[in-house]
Amino acid sequence: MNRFIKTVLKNRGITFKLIFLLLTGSILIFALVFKYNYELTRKIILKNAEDNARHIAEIAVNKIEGVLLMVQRVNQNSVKYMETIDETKEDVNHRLRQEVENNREIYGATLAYAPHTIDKELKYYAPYYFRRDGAIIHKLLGGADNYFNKDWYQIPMELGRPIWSEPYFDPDAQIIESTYSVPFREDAQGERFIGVSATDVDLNWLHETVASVKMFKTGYAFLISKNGTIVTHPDKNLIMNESIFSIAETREDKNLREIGKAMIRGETGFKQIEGYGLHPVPKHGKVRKSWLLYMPLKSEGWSLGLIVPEEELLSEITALHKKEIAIAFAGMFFLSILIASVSASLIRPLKRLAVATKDIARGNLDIETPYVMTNDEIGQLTASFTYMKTALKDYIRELTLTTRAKQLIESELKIAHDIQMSFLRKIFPPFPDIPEFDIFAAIMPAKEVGGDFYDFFFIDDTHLCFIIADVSGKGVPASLFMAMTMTMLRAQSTTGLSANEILFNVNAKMAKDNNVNMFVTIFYGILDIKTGVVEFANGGHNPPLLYKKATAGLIPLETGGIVVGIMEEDITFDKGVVTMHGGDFIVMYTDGVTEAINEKDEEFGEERLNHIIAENHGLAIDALIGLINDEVNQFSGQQPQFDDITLMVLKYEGCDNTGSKEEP
Amino acid sequence: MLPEYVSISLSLSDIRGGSSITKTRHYLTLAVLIVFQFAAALAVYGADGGMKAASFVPQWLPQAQFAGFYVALDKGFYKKYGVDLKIITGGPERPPFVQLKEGRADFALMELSSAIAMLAKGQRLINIAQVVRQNSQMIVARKASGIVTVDDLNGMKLSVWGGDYGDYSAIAFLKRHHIKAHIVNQSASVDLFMRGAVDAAVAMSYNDYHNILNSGLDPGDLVTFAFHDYGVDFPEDGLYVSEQRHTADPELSCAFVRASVEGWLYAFAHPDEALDIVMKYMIEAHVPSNKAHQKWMLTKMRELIIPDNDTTQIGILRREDYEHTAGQLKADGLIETVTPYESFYKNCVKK
Repeated sequence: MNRFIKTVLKNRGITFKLIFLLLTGSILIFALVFKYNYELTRKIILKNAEDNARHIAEIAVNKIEGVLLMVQRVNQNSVKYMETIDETKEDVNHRLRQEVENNREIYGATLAYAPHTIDKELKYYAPYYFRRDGAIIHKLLGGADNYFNKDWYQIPMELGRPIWSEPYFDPDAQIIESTYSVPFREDAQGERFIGVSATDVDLNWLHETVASVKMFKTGYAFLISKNGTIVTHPDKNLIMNESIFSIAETREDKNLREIGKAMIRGETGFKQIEGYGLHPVPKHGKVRKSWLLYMPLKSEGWSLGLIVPEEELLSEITALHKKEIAIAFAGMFFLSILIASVSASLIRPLKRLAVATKDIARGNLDIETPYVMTNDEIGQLTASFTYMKTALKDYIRELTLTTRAKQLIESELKIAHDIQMSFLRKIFPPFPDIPEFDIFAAIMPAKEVGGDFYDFFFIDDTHLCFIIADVSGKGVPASLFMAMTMTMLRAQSTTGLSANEILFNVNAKMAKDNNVNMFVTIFYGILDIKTGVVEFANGGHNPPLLYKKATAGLIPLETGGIVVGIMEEDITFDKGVVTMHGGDFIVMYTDGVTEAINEKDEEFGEERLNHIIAENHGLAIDALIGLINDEVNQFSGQQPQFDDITLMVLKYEGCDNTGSKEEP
Repeated sequence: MLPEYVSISLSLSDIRGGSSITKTRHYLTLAVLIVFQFAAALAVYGADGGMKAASFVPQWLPQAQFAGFYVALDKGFYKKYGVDLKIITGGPERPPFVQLKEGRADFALMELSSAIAMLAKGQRLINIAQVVRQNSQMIVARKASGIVTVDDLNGMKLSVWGGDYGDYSAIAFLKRHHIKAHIVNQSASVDLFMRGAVDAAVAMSYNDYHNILNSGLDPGDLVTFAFHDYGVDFPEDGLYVSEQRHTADPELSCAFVRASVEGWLYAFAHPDEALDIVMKYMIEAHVPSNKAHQKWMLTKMRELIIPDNDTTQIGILRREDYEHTAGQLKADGLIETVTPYESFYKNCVKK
């Protein structure tokens, strides 16, 4: 059952579930009430019917018994008279004729004497008076009739008390009769059996009396004898042919046999039986049921049966229950509609919410949320939903604005970066006509705008100024600071001052107005292309590495200066001087190279750099820069690049190559 | 004042309704026609394609006890064997032996023991077939009467069929078991017993016993002593012909027997049809009838006619059965001499 309900309810809507469960419940309750009501009313109706049938049967029984008791009295009085008064044969004949004449219910009467009682000479003597065609006929029963062996004579003789015989068919008279026989003795005290006084009753009137008993439309009565033989019945074929027991045997109906036994025992009862009374049961079709009230005719031992067809008995209750069922069905129908409409009113906003949620998920926040007037759970849900939609909308609006602002800033930064990059020389070799040296630089910017830069330019015909610098911090301020530094350095370079003096001047100017506490590391070098002498100053920058071809060694170009722009105005920088010979080169780099981090959080370091340079000194300078870059990238692996990576290599080729230039 | 079981030949039309009247008239017309034909056939004897006219009287009114004969008649078996048969209804007022004696019937159905007694009294009879080969009778008593064993019947009031034509099974049973009961004559109805006027009654298994059951007593309420269980197994219904008639035309006797045997076999093979045929003759004869009772009777008749289930034995009177019956009757002093088996019985079944 549970599984069935689960199967039925699976994948169903709330309306279906509500209707299914509520209707199932209602039907169960109705069925219980209906069943109880049916049983109760049925019981009441059956009780009423039984009382009614009993009453009708009682009237019929009293009517029949009235006649039969009268017959009994006539006969018994006759016997009493005989036992007290000595009569002649003529007296007896006269009295018998009168009995028949005076009582229209009596068909015939006889006094059947035992052998040799009334007359020593006579074995048989039984004067018999009976009706025939309106006249009263006299006949003397004798040896041909052999009345000593007849039940009406023999049974009362053997039993010594009066009896009603089983009904029998009299072929001469063409009627069904029953005989009331009273044994009589010599006198009231005498023991000697003299004979039997017998009175025949034509049972035709009985048939009419019983046939007049009706109940409902087709209810009818019947009469059975002491042996169960059918004496009267609407189906005349049954009369005298069948007994209630033979019918029970034909129908194989044990219940009917038991009822038959109860009837001939003289009991009263009201029982249900199969079939329309004792009528033959049709071989096909539905077998009707009926109720049988039976009541004894006490004096005869017969029994009256009153048949009430069940469908007629229960017709009112059936009609009532049909109406009840119709009302119940109508009720269920309206209940379904009610549930459907209530559930629809509950579900409609939910459905609209579901649609709205889908729209919102697709990004349509301007959709109307369903309007719910109620303040129930659905109302609260709708309100929460509306609030969520508004909040989401506000949030998205703010987010849009922020994003737009950010995008604006980002685009501006991009521009700034582009400008910054445009400051840097990008065409290599920059001076193809000058054979004394070769210079190559590359900058790999990190995501954000960084502060690295490099620069190189001729101060005069023979002096090349070359700079690499790294501004602290990132972004626009670093970029601007870089632009400023670059401008200042270029401006100072034209003054003809030495490298350390230039850094001093730049620092002095920067430190004076530096409110933002930004600084920059600068390596500033000047190469005399004729002599190969390099004059340099280092303002806190990673010392560039000078590769001496002759010694195949690397010399860090360090002067011991500190970062530029943040300290006192009067900070001085030392000047360094080295001489490059043909094939020597200086590798300049920013901390983006040495501080690059791998996945193990290790720094690339100076040693690795030194090693790469020493191993690959023979490479062309652009190839060397490419190699260092590749190595750093390989080292970093998947780690993001945090800082700009800037590399610049200056290689001195020497004066000899040209012949036009002299060694100083 | 008429006996309750005499409801023989007159119309029940006043009870049975209009359509039955028409039917009855139809049958009457038919009967009249048959009688005329019969007369005509007699007048020009032998001209009717060799068909020989004969009449047969069973002990009683039409009922399933005689199903084989009515079926053979209805299905034309007698005609097939060249016998133009007329069945005369029997009954207490026209017992078969009387009709046979007076020449009103050519063949009669009688109990073996009564036939032997008749023969002993000088009636010249020949048994041409033993139909019922087992005794059907029993003594029935209410359990409530306290009767448990055969000996308990001593001193009880017991009703038995009397009269000249009855069989002697009951008397043989009482003598054999030395029972001194108060004997009362019983009629054809079971009312004497049902009303308690007697303590016990003789009943036939196929008839009265069922009538008792269908008067409201259950088998469990009753105690029964079937004679054949108590050493008295007199075969019952047999076919008899006068010696004179048989000598004149033994082929006719045997044709009648063979057609009858065929009728019985057909009745047992088609019980429903047989019952319908019997009921038809019962209604025709205005005999109170119900199918339940006739069905019971036919079922019991089968057990009595072929107790060994050997259909080839139908109609045969076994020497030991005859000698057992005749010997018992002689021993009981009912007859003085036993007629030899050979002269008593002529086997018509054997071809």
